[in-house]
Amino acid sequence: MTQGLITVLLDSELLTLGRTCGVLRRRNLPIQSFAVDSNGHPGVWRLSCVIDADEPTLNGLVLQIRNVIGVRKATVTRNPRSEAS
Amino acid sequence: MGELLTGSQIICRTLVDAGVEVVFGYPGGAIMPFYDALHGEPALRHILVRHEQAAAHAADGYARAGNRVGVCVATSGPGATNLVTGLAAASMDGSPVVAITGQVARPMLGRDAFQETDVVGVTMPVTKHNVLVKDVTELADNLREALAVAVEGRPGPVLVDVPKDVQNQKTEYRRAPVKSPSRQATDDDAALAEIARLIAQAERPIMMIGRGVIISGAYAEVQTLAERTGMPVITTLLGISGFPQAHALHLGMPGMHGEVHVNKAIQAADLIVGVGLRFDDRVTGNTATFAPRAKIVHIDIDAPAIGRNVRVAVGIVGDAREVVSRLLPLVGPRDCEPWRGEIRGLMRPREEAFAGGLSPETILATLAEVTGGRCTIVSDVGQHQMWVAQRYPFQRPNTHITSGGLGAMGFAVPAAMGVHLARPDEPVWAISGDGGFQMNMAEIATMIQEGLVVKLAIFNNGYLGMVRQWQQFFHGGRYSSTPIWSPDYVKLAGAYGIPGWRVKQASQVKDALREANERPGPALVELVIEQEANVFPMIVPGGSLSEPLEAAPV
Repeated sequence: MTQGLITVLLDSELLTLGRTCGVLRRRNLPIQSFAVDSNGHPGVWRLSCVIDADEPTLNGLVLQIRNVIGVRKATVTRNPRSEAS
Repeated sequence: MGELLTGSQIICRTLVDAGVEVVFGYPGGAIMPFYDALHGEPALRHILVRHEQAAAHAADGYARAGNRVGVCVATSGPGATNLVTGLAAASMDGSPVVAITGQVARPMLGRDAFQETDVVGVTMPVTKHNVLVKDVTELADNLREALAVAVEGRPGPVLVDVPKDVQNQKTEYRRAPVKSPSRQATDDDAALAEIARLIAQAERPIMMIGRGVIISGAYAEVQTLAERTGMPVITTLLGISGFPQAHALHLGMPGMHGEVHVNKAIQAADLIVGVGLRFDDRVTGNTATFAPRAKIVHIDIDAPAIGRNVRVAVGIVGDAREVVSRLLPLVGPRDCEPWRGEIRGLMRPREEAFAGGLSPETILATLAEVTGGRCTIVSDVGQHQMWVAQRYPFQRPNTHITSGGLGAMGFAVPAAMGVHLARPDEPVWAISGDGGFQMNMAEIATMIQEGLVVKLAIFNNGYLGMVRQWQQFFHGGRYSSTPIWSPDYVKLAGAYGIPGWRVKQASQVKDALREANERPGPALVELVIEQEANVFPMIVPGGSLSEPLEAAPV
């Protein structure tokens, strides 16, 4: 099982955050950590989320998140910490 | 300097300026300012439904038949929650619907006010986008964005929730255009060349088309591709009427109730070119055994759909018409005669679902005959829906409308009202079972009041037939809560002042359907069919397309 880090830059709106979380929630995947913070730019939040899932699932998830209105960028990387362990 | 208008007037004006002509809705407390403004807006025709679910389905039917946004309106709380099924249906099938809901005034939000529901929260999973308008200065832009988002990419529903005090606020209205959808074309020339190479090399290629072909209007391009290559064409439930059924290259519908030769062709194919479909589980059966020999090419406008359910050799994100247009110059002529001969060898004469009396086959063949094929069929959900999909000879583009993804019973009657408004010059037949018809039969009153012409056919077998079929096959014949009583439909028609016929024998079908089709205004025909007729063939849920059931399991 891959552990992936999904990073999303989104409008700083609870509605956009809620919709993005909805995409994550619907897939019912094990979420290891979840954080939302400012990325230093006004009006933009960064969501970082570590998920246990295989690569096609993670890639599909990112494509779905990119469809959310208000999401500016979504990427997935393999979690470096999972590789270290 | 723009005109000073209230929020409600701005809603009306924005809709009119965007070319919206019809809204389906139901008034209530929190949306009253909008209805007051609507009273002075003759350019917007309002259709008063009998339940908000019908407003959403009607807007959906209007959108599908008219290739334009359908708009529905409801009040806060129960009005808005009643829209949910219709929005979910539109979401699953990619239909552009904009819902405008009233909301309690901003100071009351979050206080469990009368008729307050967090409608943005409730509808989030079943809409493409939704928004609570926080200030009247944002209203016109929010609404224009909703109209644009609904049609952009894979179409879908958008909800705009407008607090009552925002409807009453005033601000300057400035006219602005609604952003036009961009036709997403691929610039992936390597992928197109690879598809062309796969088509040239394949011995057993098949094209599978879905609703994306209808939405993008890719009829001519798909037909040219099929004719140039000789590839047989399979139409999914929502792809039906995307390719003429009588065409020599048309095979039929795949999947759970697909014909045996269609599913066997999929299992034998070495290439599947999928255009504008999402390889839904009702199409694939068990994905582990789906098309085991085939490389799959997947062309769809929705990036997450590519490769989500089946492994894909080449995927292209884009509008079906644009992508197939760009593919055509790369594809050389060929034929697939040996392969088509192989498929012809798999074909068998269709057996009637119920031989003898009033069979679905007889009814549908007669309907095609009396309408001359000049009508749109809107089917509900269940056995009759599958019979329509399998047996009605659709020839013209986008003349088959059904709730495919959500499978929402009660869809047909209200959706057909929307279809009538989009296509007022030709008949619309809403075909329902006795279960689905009773869910939204109150809409006959809407038809009368608003002058909507819908012909109603009810396949009455006294059961929730598809569930009963599953109970017969998989639950030991225990018919738990599937026998369903019906009123006297002819008297019901009489109560609404429309003509009605009850047909029990094959010999009566033609006269009843012809008269109903020709009489002005709505008409109802009840077709009393065999109670325990089953839909065959059938792939058991989660089963392989290679193993169709052709008789009830013992």
